[in-house]
Amino acid sequence: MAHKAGHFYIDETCIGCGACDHACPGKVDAIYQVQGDFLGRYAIVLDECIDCGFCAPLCPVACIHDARAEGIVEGTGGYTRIRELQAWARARA
Amino acid sequence: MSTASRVETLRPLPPTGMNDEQVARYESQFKEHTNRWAEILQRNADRMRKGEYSLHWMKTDQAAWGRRAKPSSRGLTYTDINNVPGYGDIPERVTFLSFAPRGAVREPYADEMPVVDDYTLVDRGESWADNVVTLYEEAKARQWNATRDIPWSELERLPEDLEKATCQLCTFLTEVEFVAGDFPAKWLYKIPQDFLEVKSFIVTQMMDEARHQEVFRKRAIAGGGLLHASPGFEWALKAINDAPTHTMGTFLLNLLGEGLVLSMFRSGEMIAKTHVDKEIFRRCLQDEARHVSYGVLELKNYLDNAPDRPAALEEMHRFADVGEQVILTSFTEAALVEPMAILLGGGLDKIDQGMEGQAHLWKMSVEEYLQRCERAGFDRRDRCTIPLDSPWGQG
Repeated sequence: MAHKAGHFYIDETCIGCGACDHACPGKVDAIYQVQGDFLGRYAIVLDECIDCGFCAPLCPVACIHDARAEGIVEGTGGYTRIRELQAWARARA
Repeated sequence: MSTASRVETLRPLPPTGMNDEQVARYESQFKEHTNRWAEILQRNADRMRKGEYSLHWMKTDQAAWGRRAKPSSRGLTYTDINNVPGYGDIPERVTFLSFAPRGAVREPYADEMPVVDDYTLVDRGESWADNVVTLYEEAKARQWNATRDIPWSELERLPEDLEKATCQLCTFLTEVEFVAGDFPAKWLYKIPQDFLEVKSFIVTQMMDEARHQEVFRKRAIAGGGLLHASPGFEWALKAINDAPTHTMGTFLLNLLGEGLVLSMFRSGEMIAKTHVDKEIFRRCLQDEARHVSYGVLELKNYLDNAPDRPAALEEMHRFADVGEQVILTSFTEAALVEPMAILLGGGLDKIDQGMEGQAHLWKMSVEEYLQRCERAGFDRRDRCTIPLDSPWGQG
């Protein structure tokens, strides 16, 4: 049987609370914390995701999307604002 | 001195009468209910004297006995055991106000049990959040030790202006962090046992905050010392502690206050001047994110389940109108804004440039707050009393 990849993904506005990680069924365990990311954000391994969708409602910033429903979207809202501070800091470096 | 006379000196002092009134009240409280607990004692003693066994506790007709929980690959989580029929039904309203565990056979004994009068947050809408179970698991997985996990021996010496700014920031954080221990503690014992997942998560929050208070205190004292406390911080803390309801206080503490601190920690790469400080911010950031996460979905749950949503919303807005202003008092204190600007700018001589960065941070913090409110179904955009742009304009 052909393997079907999942459709859920986490955008850049993740705050790293990890609520989604433990919502992912144990046998699936498709959510992981990105190593070396200072902001402690999480990501989903699409090849392992089974599209159960348990993770999305638990996110406090609505950064988990279903590509089938929303397509691939960029993060929006206040949690994208850190880019401006980072750009300011880079410009001064 | 003989052994006997030594023992004599160790005898407790005679009663001083200091707590007479309290002890008398305690005695009378239990004497009032003698017919209940003393009857249980009598019944047990009679059975023991007769050499009989009860074995009533082996009866399983009213129990969810035999439906075994299956561990997942992570171990045995609350989600795993809540999937077992009979254990995972979180009541809308708790009627069992005792310590008897949810899912145990307890109804037959209800009349004989004392009522815990302090359990007043009986509605699920007053403390539950849909992510509280997974946040609890995450909290346990991410515990760390402020003594051992920070490379204290590698702490570099900074120029005096940067060291003072760092120590002042740590003084602020030491001053404010444990309100997130005190406030939940004030409400923890009011949450009934049926909401054990909420109670458990709140305990992890308190542990996290103890660690934050510890790590910032240690950082300050390892670098130069604690500097100035501030009245503005204190008013913000008072506003949180004195919040009239659990949800309102959780909004002010977790969603707004800790949210603003989270914004600072997220900027930690730019604020921290040593790799040790970066490590502290990185670790605290993850803890803080969980608290913020609970606060957002707790408010959402409260509003979604409010019998009269428009009235609940209006009441929350009324509370937030005041709360935002008091929290703002804290975040405009020179003892916070100035050291942050010095750290962002890179020195006292670059404080003006640092204020530009601080203006970006201000905007980012407020926008992040508004995003959290929106997620909770509490749109503050048109009503927010915190200006979107910093009072000094740049950025």
